[in-house]
This record gives sequence, C-alpha cells and structure tokens, in this order.
Amino acid sequence: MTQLSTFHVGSYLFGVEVALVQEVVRMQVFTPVPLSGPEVSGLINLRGEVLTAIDVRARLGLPPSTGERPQVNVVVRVDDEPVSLLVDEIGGVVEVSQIPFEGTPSTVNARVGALLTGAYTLPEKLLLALDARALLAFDESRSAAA
Amino acid sequence: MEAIDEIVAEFLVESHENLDQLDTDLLALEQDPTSRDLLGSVFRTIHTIKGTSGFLAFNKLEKLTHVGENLLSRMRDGKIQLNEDRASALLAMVDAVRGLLSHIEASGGEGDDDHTELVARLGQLLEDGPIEAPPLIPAQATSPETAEAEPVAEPEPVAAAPESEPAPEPAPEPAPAPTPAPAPAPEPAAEKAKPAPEPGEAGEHKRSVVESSVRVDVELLDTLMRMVGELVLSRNQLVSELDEQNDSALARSAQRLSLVTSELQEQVMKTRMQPVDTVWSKLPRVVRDLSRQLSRNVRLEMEGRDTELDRSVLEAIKDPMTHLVRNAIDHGIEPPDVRIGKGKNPEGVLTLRAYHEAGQVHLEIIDDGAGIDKDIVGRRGVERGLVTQAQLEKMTPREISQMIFLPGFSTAAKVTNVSGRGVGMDVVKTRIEGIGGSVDVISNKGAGSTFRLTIPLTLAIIPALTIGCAGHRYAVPQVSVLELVRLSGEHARGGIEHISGAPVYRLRGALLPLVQLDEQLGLVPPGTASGGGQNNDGRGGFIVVLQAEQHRFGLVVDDVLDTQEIVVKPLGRHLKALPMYQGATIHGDGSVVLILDATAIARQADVLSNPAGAASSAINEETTTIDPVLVVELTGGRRTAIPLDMVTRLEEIPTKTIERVGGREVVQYRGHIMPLVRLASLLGAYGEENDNERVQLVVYTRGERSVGFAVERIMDIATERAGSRSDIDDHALLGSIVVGDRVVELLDVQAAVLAADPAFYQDDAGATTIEELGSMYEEAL
Repeated sequence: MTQLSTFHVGSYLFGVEVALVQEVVRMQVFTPVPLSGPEVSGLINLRGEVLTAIDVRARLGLPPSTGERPQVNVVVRVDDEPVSLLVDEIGGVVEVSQIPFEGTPSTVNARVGALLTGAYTLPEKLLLALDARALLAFDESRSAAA
Repeated sequence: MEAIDEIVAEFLVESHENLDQLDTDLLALEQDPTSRDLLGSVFRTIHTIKGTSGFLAFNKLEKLTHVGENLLSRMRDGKIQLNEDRASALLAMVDAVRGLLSHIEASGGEGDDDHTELVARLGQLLEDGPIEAPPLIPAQATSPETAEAEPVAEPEPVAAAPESEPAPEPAPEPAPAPTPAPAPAPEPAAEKAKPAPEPGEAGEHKRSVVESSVRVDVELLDTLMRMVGELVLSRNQLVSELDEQNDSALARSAQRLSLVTSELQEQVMKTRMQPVDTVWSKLPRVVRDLSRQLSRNVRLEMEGRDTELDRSVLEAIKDPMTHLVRNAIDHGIEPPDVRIGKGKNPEGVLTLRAYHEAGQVHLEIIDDGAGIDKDIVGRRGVERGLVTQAQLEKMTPREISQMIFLPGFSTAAKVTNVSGRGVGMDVVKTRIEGIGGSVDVISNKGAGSTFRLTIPLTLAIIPALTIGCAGHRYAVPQVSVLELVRLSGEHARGGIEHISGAPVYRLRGALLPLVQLDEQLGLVPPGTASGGGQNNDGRGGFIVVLQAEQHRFGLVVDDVLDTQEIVVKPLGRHLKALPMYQGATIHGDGSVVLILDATAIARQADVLSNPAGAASSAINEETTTIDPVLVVELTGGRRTAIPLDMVTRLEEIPTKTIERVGGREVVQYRGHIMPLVRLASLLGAYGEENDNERVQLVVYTRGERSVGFAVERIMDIATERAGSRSDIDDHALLGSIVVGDRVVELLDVQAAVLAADPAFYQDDAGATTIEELGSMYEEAL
C-alpha cells in the first residue's frame, strides 16, 4: 500500500511519499538569502525552526510563479532535515498501489525527468512520482560560488 | 509490578549518576587518601547501591558492592589506606557495577558476567595491613619507579574537595585548611554538594542538589522549545490583529503577554546550555587509566570548565575530545625517563582549556610532550602518497603539521590499542567540521602540541547587533563588533576616501578599510553601494567596525537597529556552503534574520591580506602584532610600505605646483608650505624619472607640520604577515616585511620625515621653521 501526497507545479501533478510530508503551511513570510542560488526562495520560521524554502519551479526549470495565487509550503522531512517545498497548490493523498506504474514518461522534459522515480497513470492525469532526495540534492556549491 | 519497575528505573538513574560522582571522588581520593569527607562520600554511594540492590534482589550487584563497602569501611576507619591497587580495584568495581546496571536496564536481569575474581581481589585487598601497603603516591606519579627517580614526586597537600561543606551535622573532623593547589579532578564534587557525613543514614539522604535542580528529559526540553515558538507566533498574530482594533485595554494585556512570552522563550532556550564540564568530567578517568597503561606521568589541568555550550554541540565534541586527549598521552607526552633525558619535568602536563571568543567556543588540548616531528610527518605524507616530494618542499611547517588530519595518515609506528581505534585525526576533523567547526594544530618539536577546536555557536545564545541593509535586517555577533560610526551628511562625503578604488575611512587618524555590505551580498551591482557610499543622496548610514581574525575593517550599512540576545539556528544543508552566514535567528516578531560572519565577509571582500598568517598568529604567541601598512610603488616598480598609522592623508597634486626652495622641494598645502621628499631618490630607487603631470603624495601631519612623500603610485592597504619583519640595515628603511606574497621594504617614516624637514620633530621650534621656509620661498621668488 503506497500513498502519495500530491501537489501541482505548473501543469504537472507531482506526488511524494506521504510519510515524508510533515505538514502543509499556507501563510509564510520569506527571508531572502542573498548569494544563494535561484532554487532557494528564502527562509521560513516554522514554529521556531528555521527552514529553507525550495522553489520547486526554479528547481524544475519552470518560469517563476505569476504571483496571482499565493504558493504553498509543503514541509517534507528528508534525511531528518525538514525542508519546505514551495508549490503552486496542494492536491490530495492518492492511494497508488493499484494504479499502473511506468517509467519516466518521455513527454516530460529531461530536467524534470531526472527527478522522478516514475509515473502513475491516473484516469484523468499523469501523477509523477518525485524522488524527494534527488529534488533536494541540487548543486550546493554553485550557490556558494555566487 | 509497575511500581517495582518504577523503583528499578529510579534506582538505575540514581545509581548511574552516583557512579559518575564515584569516579570523580575516587580519583580525588587518590590525591588525598586521608580525606574523610571523600571516603565518606564514596562509602555512602556504594552503601546506597548495595542497600537498594539487596532490596530489589539483584544479588550479584549486592555481593560486589558489599565487598567494596567492606574495603571502604576499613579505609574510613583508618585500618587500611587507599593505595594504587585498591584504587584500581575500586574503579574496576565501579565499572563492574556499571556493567551490571546496564544489563538490568537492558534486560531486567543481571546478565552472566562473572565477577568472582574481582570480588576475590577486593576481598584480598581487605586483608592487607595498614603498614605493608605502600603509601599512596599522589596521582601525579602514577608509576612507582619514576616516582623514586624524580624529586618532585613528594606528596603535596591537595585540597580535598573541601570548601563547600555545608553539612547539616558536625563533620567528623575539621575540614583541612583549603590549599591553593588545584585538585584536577574533584571540583564537581563540591558542586554536587556533599552528602551528610553520617554514613549510616546514607540510604535516606538525598544530595542537596535535589533541592535546587530537577532532572528533565531532554526531549521534554525540545518539546517545550517548540511550543514556546508556537506561542510566540500566536502572540504575534494576536498583536497584529489587535493593531487594527484600537482597543487600548486589550492592547495592554497583549503587551504583557508579549513580554512574558519573550521572557519565557529566552529562558527555555537557556535550558539547553550545559557547561563543557559535562564532557570533561569523564576525562580525568581516561587520563588516569591511559597514563597508567602507558607508564606515563601526566597531570591533567582544566581551565574554563563552566564554559557553556549547547547540548547538541557537547554531544558532538565528546568523541573528538576524548580522542585528542588519548592522542596527547599516546603520541604527545613522553615516558618519564625520556622526559628526564630531555631535561623536562618527568611529569607531563595536559591542559584542557575552553573559552568563548569571537562568537565561537574555543577548546584547546595542550600537551608539553614531544610535539610533531615535521620531518617524520613530511616523510610519511610522501610515503602514503598524500603529497609529492616536490609539494612537500614547498610546504610551510604549519602546512606539514596539518597533514596529520588527512585520511589515511597515521604516525603511530605500530597500531596500539590506545590510538588504533578507528577514530583517527581525520575523523576528529570530519566530526568537528560536521558541526561547522574547525581543527587546528600548532606544534613545536620537543615542546608540545596545541590542538585547537573552534566550535560554532550553533544554538548558543549570543548578543548580536541588528543592522539594516537594502531593506533587510541582518544580525552581527556582538563579539566581532568593535564600535559604530555614524556617517551623517558631511562625514559621509568627507570621511570616506579611496585608495586605488578601495574605500577607506579615517578613524581617529588611522585608515580603516571599508566593505559595503549591500555590495558583498550582491544586493547592488559593485560600485553602486548605497550606505554612506559615493551616491548616498545625502542619507547617512553607519560603519560597523568589525574585528575579523586580527584585522579591523568597517562594514558600511544603512541602519543600526538594536542589540539583542539571539539564538543561533543552523542553516539547512542547502545554505551551508555560504560562508557569509553563521546561521539564522528568529526575532521577536517571528521573522527569520540571517547572522553574518564577519570573517567570511572580510575574506570575501579581501580585506584580510593573509588569512593563514593571521590565523596562525592568533595561536602562536611569539609573533608580533599585525599592523596595516600602505603599500606604495616607487620609480622602477620598487615597492615600499608605510605603517598606516603614519599616514594622515593621501593627495594628488599637479607636478607644476611643486617648487624648489633652497635645494628642497615644497608645495603649498592647506595654507602652509609643506616640504616634500621623493621616496624614490631617498631610497635610491633607480628608474626613469617620472614626467607625469600629477604626483601622488602621502601626507604625514603632526600638529601644525606636514611632510609629503612623493611616490609613483599608491597601491593598496595591506597587513604585514605576523613575525615576518626582518631587519635591513639601510638608510630610511626599518626592514622588509611580507605583504601578500611579496617582500616589501618598510619605510622608516621618521628618517624620511627628517630627510624632508630636519626640524620636523622640534616642537618648540615649529613656528620658526615654517617661517624660515616661508622666507626661503619668498627669496626664491
């Protein structure tokens, strides 16, 4: 039995293992971090803990959010470190064990594809299973070089 | 059944704590075998464990502690004396008790360990008469042979963990007069308050520490911390909503709530701090056991044991600290005979030192042993393929010492069971760097080594200055801040000068290199910095004068807001690679504020000319202080350095304004006539005579008098590398110094001044000389 928490970024529907998701936070003030890479949208205060908010759009190479609708923080805990993923909108929890699972579809661009473990074919849409570790493992030294 | 479990659990917790105390007490007792207080304390601890284990039917434990108790009882009664064998046996018993307790904790049973031998040994030691037992040599002499060989081994009176003895009942005998000699081990005993001296009642007696402190589960503290965080956020929301409602009574309540919340937050955060002694208290035992095992003679000294660190940091330094201590005894301090052969005191000294400095915690492990043999290290480095012979030849001694931290490096001729435990120096380094710290070693062959761990403030509470820059707030640890300078209107324009494009500020006569924060953070393109800079549209700004390593520099910011105690929170791994930030903190309003790292900013802005040299000078006490110098170029590319405190102004004048008066060149300067000296001709620099239209001048003013040094080009402000000054016996030169990678001559300003104006330093004759020059000038016309 596998459950994925889903969220929307651009035209994609992504899912991460439900166990990784700690919570979803809507209101947030970001403290920008000068010199950091574009993937880092800033720092947030989650009940006294300082979390790095990752701009998933930037990470996937998508254009920045239009800002019409406030983005949502999906707080995931990977390798015991909580990180906030900034996404467009959250979806629901989807039970996927009965849904056909395929490799990364060729229709998604390579940059996105590299971050997926595969895709579930929901009747209405493709649910892309994100590899949360890969998503968070971007080149940290690049931001340092700035 | 549950009630029993609870009793057992309580017994375990209490016993573990008592055992730690016992270790300390036994070691202190070795120093002062006749102390009745210590004997009483040790006796009662064992007695308590024995009594409870009997009650809970832990028979092995009871049997073991019983025989230990007998031994102690006889010592207390003065029938026998504590000697080294007895101390070892008792320590072995403490370990065995610990083992049993662990078994009970894990499985509920006592396990299968056989302690009959130990019980027999303890029993046998019981029988020895008081006279036969060799009198105990105080712990500084751990091996008897050497004790005889050295004259120093004479037992000296040592304080018997004495001063604090607020015993409710009369002590059996007056406490010994406090002796200044510091007993290395026993201090914590004093803190934990002595149990009442009446042994029979020990079972019921609680340590009085219970009255002033409570043991709290760390997880509970973490939970409290998180909850306070939520409270702060809720408070903030409440306050901001109230602002819209305009209800003054409610606003006052909210204000109170706000204050209490902040206070609560602060206090809860402080609960996580613990003194470094919580880690150190285990080390006297390590030192004792190891020096015995290796036949070394080691005295352990600790300084700054109440230095507080966050408990997460303490946890992380525990193993590296132990390893470094082991290493110092195994590889550092030589056996007594070797030491005597070298003319050293046979007793080696191992010093642990902890202190807060520059917003960091420094831990030093200092031994007076053999030091690091750089030849051997270098050779081994080549053997192991860590460096090539060619590389090695170019390395500084310091760089060679650092090789011991490379993975795959080990100088141990053979793997001993002391050092070859898989925790090498590289692991120490990795661990310390893992928490954002650094490890450094300074060693002089034959004289010992100093390992310095610099631990970041992670989670520590520090005072910090909040500044504003480009619309955002940042925190700067107060320890780096020397002073604040306000740049208002005129000062903003007049105070900042440029030397080869780099801004400097004249602070009380000395030139301070400036760094624009907004520029360094990439908030504005370089050269367009706002705060106090070139185009500050009349707006002021501030210079925060910072100390980074040994250097001072000014950080130009828009605003200085306040000073407050902040809690340093680590940044996530995506930001770890940014050296500019030490971490982040959360302000009262719930916003996240980045904490700037002064050293990293200085480094990035390149105002530290030689970070490695400066860092070493911080540790190496022999080096001279570092002075900033102004580097200028003379004709023909020759460079010379002028101490910055001898530089008053930098000027550029048209060449044609220079006039010749009586064989001297002068120029009209600020209503006076200023003599000039061309440094190139003074120092005998060869090269083409310059035909430039303008001349660069370095002006030195003293009182009413000024002298101008004409140079080809003003290069840079730099810092001379510590200890690099060498003497040159030459006209108008003090010597040569190393600036960056170049050797530069250091100008003897006084000599140069006199060359221009022989009467310059004659204060009383000042006015006449200027008049003299004036009349000479007129004559020339």
